[in-house]
Amino acid sequence: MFAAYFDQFNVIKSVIFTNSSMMMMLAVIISLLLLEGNKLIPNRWQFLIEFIYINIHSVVQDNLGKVGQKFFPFVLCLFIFIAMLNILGLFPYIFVPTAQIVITLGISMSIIIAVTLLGLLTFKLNFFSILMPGGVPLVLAPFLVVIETASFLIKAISLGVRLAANISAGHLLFAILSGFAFNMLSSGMIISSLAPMLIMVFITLLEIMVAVIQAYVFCLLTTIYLGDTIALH
Amino acid sequence: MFSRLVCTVGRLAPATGRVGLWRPLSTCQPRFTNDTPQPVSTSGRTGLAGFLESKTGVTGAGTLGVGMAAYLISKEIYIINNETVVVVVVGGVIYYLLKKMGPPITQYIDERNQKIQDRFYGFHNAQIKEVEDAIVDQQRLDGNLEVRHDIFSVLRENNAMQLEEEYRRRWHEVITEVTRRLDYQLEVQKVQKAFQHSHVVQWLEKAVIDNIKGQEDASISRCIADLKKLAVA
Repeated sequence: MFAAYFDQFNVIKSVIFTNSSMMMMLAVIISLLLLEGNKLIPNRWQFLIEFIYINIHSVVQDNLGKVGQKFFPFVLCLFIFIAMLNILGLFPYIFVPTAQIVITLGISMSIIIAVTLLGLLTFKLNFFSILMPGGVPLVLAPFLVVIETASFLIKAISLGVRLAANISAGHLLFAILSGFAFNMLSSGMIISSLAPMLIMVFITLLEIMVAVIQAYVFCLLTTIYLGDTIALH
Repeated sequence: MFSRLVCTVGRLAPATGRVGLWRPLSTCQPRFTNDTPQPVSTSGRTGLAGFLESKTGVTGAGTLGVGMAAYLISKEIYIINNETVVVVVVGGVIYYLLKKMGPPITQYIDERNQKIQDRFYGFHNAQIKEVEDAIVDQQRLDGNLEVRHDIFSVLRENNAMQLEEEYRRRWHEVITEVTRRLDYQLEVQKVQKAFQHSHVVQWLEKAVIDNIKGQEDASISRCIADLKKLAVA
């Protein structure tokens, strides 16, 4: 029974593409078609992309400053990609790639690897000074270096797992509650089935917010991690 | 014969809901025409709903949706399962959000876009307003200039009145002066006549007195005698 709830996350290959890659392509196409912003006097959809642009720009500006503006296109695209995938996944019968750990871990590990490489290119071996926090007694150095190294490595995992866990938890909740309500309806308990459906209404509202917030948190943490490539400590 | 009868009866039948039977001269299948007037749409729908309404009428879209759903369910193309509950709930939430929050958000976006447009068209609109104000001022000036004829006629009449007044004043002065002089002459003549009269009276009195001087006693005794005679009579 529990396995049936996880069937919605199965990756299915049809002809050439998997459902995961098809959804990602669809998200890109929809983003390109819908979020077009080339008018001097914006229309309603352009307002949305301008709103996203302004907010992500302020995040990048606050965390990375003027030097970090080179990362702004990447962070903006990341946000739109993840947010669009999450929002599309809210619709029924639509596969959500960001619930797949392989997708999110792929993105997060790529980011952490890029941060490490950029840091090494910029600061050479001094980059490893981030593993030693400033103002710490030298006696604690060995332990702290180990802990900081583990923390650095876990960043990659936590960044990806956070997104996948939140999205998949929401969809699992949908599946469980809808199964519950459907069983009640099938059994003739129509009035009682309103309770799980009412809970699903609130879960839907929550999931809409979670879809956008998780994308924002992912981008915010990415921006913070990219800060290590600009300035140490 | 019967066709003429049917046509006559059909014409005499009430117009609403009449089904006219039209049979051409040559033998062919009878054609039924429905003269029932079509309902006029007042819903003001646009887009796909408006297109469907224009082609299929007010209930066309609903009939299409219900028919399509019934077909899909009856042919088991769409299987009702727990995901259907998700469809209902998510669809209902999205519909409610669009209806509830859509108008205020679109109004805010439209106001913002209008402000941007006003900012871009600020100089242009200011110039247009300046020209419009100049047109209004010019029209007011033209209106003021039109009044000059009235002003001139008023001034002309005023001058004529002043001239008339001056004329009458002088005429009155002349009359007064002439009257005064005539009165003077009259008074002079009166005085002359009074003098002459008094002179004549004095002369007559003197003459009479001189004439009867020395005859007073005789006259008095004659008068007394006459009076006695009269008293006796």
